[in-house]
Amino acid sequence: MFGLPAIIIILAVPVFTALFILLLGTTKYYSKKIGYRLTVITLLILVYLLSADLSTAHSTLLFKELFNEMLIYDTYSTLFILLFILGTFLSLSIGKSYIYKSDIFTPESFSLILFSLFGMILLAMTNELLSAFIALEIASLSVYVLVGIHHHSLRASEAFFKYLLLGSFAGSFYLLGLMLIYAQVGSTHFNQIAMFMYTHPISEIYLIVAGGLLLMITIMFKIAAMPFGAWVLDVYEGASLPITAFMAGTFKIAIFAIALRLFIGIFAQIKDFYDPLIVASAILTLVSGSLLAMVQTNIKRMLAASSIVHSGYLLIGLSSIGEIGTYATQSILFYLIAYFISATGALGILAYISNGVEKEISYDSLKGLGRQHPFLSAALTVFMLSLAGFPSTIGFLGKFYIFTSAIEAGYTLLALLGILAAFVSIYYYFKVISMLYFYEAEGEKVVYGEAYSFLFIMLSSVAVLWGGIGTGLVSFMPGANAITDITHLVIESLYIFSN
Amino acid sequence: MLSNYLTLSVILFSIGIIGVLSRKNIIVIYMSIELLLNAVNISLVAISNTLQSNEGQVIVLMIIAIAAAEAALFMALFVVLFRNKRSLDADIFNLLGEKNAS
Amino acid sequence: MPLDILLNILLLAPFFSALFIAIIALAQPSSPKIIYSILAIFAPLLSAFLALILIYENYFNGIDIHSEIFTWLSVSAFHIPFSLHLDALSSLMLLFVAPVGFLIHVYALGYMKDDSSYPRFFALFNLFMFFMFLLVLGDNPIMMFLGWEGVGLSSYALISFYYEDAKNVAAGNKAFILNRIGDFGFLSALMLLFISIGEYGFSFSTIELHLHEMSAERINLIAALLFVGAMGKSAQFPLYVWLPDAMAGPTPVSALIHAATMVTAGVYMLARFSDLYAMSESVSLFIAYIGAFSALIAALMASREFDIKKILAYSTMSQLGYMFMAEGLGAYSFAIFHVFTHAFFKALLFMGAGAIIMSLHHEQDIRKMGGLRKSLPMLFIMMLIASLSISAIAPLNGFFSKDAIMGHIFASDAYIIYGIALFTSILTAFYMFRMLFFVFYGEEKIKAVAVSKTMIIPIALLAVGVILSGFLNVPSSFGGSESISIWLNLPDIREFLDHTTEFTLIGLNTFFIFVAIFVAYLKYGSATATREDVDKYRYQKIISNKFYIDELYHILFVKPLYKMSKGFDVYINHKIIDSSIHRTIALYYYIASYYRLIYDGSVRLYALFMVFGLSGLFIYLYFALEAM
Repeated sequence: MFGLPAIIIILAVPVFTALFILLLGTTKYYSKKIGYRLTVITLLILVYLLSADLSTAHSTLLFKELFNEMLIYDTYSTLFILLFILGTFLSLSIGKSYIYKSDIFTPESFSLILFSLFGMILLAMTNELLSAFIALEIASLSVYVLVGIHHHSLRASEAFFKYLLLGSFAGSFYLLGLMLIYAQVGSTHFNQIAMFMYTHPISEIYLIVAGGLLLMITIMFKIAAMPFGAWVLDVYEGASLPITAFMAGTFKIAIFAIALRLFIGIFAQIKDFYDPLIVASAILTLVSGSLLAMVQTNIKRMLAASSIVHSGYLLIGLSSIGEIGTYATQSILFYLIAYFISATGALGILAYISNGVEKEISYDSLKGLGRQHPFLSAALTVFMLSLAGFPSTIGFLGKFYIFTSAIEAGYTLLALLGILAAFVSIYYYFKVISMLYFYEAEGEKVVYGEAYSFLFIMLSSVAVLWGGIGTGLVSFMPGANAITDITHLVIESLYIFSN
Repeated sequence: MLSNYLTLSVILFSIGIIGVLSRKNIIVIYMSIELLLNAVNISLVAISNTLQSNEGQVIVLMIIAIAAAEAALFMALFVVLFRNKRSLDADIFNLLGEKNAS
Repeated sequence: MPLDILLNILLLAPFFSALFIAIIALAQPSSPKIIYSILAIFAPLLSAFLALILIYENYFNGIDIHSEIFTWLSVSAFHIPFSLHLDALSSLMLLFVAPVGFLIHVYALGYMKDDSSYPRFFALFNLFMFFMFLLVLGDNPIMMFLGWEGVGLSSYALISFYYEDAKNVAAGNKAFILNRIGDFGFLSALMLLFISIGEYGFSFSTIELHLHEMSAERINLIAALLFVGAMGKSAQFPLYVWLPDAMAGPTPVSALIHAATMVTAGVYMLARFSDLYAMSESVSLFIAYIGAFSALIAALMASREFDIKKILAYSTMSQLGYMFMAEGLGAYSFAIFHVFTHAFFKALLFMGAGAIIMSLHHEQDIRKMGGLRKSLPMLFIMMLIASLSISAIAPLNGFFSKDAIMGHIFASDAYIIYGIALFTSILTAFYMFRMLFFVFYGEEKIKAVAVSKTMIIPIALLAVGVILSGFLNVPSSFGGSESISIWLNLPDIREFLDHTTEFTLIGLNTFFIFVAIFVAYLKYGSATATREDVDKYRYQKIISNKFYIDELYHILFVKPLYKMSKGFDVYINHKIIDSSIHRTIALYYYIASYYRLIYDGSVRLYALFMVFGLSGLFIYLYFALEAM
């Protein structure tokens, strides 16, 4: 399906469905069921369109006539787009029970999810700084609104406020960086920037170095790296659970789509220069995330804090990207996939058991769930184990790859800190497990309907295990090794283009 | 000539940052953020003029469009916040912080 | 279908049936039993069927089947594939593991039918089959170790199956702990092996190729450590004490795990590493002596034991001793053949014993049994066949395998070991027939209930196996071709006796066995026998008390260890470790409680952090560019 029409369809389908839902929402024919189903069907169509493209062949496709080479459609972007779509699909499927029971999901929310997806798709394909910013803003603005969609709730409004304000603030640094790079190169195309850096000595690219630093700030803000990630706790807590899952899982991958393209592509030559900064940020992120996660009593907030720690691991991976090896990049991709499934699942379970009511789920409210809902508790246990990085889950392999790549790159102490953080994380993740199994239930057993969401929770917990044991025994179900293979392929496609 | 524009841009950007940090009213904070964007815009126009390329001006137009989109969201934000607390003081919206958690 | 896929299915069928049984039992506890039964039987049946196909391919077409399922771990030099390999040795193991496993599953359907934990039993039983297949089929020592640990785990869970009784749990723990000692040896050996020649790859074939690159001392050390593993799993002196206690589990478990399959894993492992042992004569000789000694004391203890299952447990240990004697003296294929024949007659004996126990309302003391010949005639005949086989009476399968071992021992000029083996063989006949006469002769003390068909039919099928399977490896002195030994192609040391000597030895052995049976008849079977077996002499008392080994271990290891652990618990664990952990956590909380204050929810503060970050980045930029 390579070729002009395919990319147009992939970009257009979410936009048009979003607009359609928006318009339909004003008529009497609309119901939440229809909005939900339209969204899911759109996602499935997109998966169908894309899955054919994720073949073994490397490909890079620039669109000269249509987008003036601002967009690129290669194996790298294909994988990321597929991940966004699957992530959105998974968040929506697990969140279905919440979405149906809660009354905050207006027609616009489905449109916004699709708009945000559109932004992320664009972000994965972008090959130019300004279009990257526009794509990022499309995705972010939609997410800002999604965070505040529950406009009667003070918490949601406040989260919206903080996220929007700090997001725009961070965005202005991106533009400043863009300006500096433009001032030096006279263009914002990745290729031309890279070319400029190849042909000029280091003393003539100071502005690019500074500009890259400013771009990095926005990226670090979005992935919640300290000291730019202070918003995460508040925003994740204020947003409704399916949206939190969407942000923590899918949106984070989107940021890495552009971050990896920047760091492997255009900034590869001056990455050594940035490495100490990334390392410092990784240390700060790991430490603050661990400190914050430990003292939380609200599980949603704990997961938010722990997502900071996971950003720290990802930064470790980012800092170990070398010029030669593709191993670190692969490990980042693997970790992203691992984290995304586990976090979406864990937050999805919280959404499932909160039954559509926005309430605080503390540790105590999980007491005795193990007896009342054995399968749900087993799934939550699996997700917690995976987040903590326990062997035979996908999270273990993710951490394992990250740490080994860090050691290979010579960051042994950083890897040790990461392992220490993982060690501390056992404390707060296992607290959840202990609540499930070691305490008697306090209340009556609550029935959580919606077998559909339950099914997807179970499926993702199986996926977490399957990805951790990893087997090609059943050829049509990709295990850990298949993920490794595909990430390898993807990274290669990126290298082909940039060199 | 370029340096004058850039100086102006730097001054505006600094005012913007200080405004975001020091002002309490959310509307003023928003204005400061707009100032940041406009500081970038000024220097982009100046640079594009110096480089004799139109690309910079196109970028400025795009940034203005994005700023407009952000403005829409901010307007909505003002309404939502004011309806909730009858105030737009940035410091009273700290329900979600660590102070109130646990 | 390609053969390697069949091999995968063979391995995974029991795993998935275990999984499904567990899921069904958890999700729908009230499911009808028939579902579990079908699942539990289907997987071993499928595996047995596939095993026969694959063994046929291997034996007649000489195809070694290799199946690399996936790469388990791969970090630069460290590469472990999850792969299976079926060669002649694993084929022969499969040849009894799969069918005997299936028959015992069928038997267990009858044996366990009134048990409330029916699904738990079959889930674990199927899981055991999976791990046993993994152990036998694993292509590298890591896979083998995985299976090794897995069978240990399922064996532990099944020994303490009736966990309501603390005694059974203790028995399970004992088995587990003693096996850990063995596993420690096994694991250390594997690590040494990996350090020495791991860089070439770690499958059995590559290990074999590179063995000569190690020094003789290292080979000896690895061989000895591996044997420690085998000692634990195969219940050899001094790590044997768990086996009699393991009889606390349900009888099908004893039949399958603690007689036919798992306990022979040690013998299999030694045969797998036979190239290594062929290079290490001193360790091999040591193994032979340990085997002989274990065989002897086990036989002695069996002859004074009254619990029917424990008698069989000791006889298992004794037979394992024979296998280790053979391996120690270089006759690997004879040892493996004895594993093979032993599986049939020992499984039969256990299943027969189980049937007797069931029909006598869970009575295990042979002194309280008697006269069952009339009420259970079928069972009597089959138990008789098996007893004759274990006593090595021609032409049953035990005769062929045991006699080959005895002949080899004699031909290796190891006369001390031969003497022990001969004496043990006589004792074997004695204690087996002692048990038989106790149970089936004399007067009926408890009225026997009829035994269900699902239990009798597998026993009968095994009896056929006992009669026929010996002919697979007829030695040349009887005009056979030793086809199994040739097929296995292990690095055997072949010693040939001339036929006169061999027939003399066989005749002598058989004569003594008949004498022993006759003595047993006089003492316990004949109409005038007192059938009393009190300890009259001091040596009898010592044997009856199992040489006080358990007590000795208790004084030597358990008590000091317990005291030490107690001390550790109080002083080191509580006072040092726990308190330091608590203090660390408290300190951590203390820091965090201050650190969290800066995230007080004020958006302008968060913006300030960002500006700090920004400043930090640019200060770095300034100095870094300065430095360039």
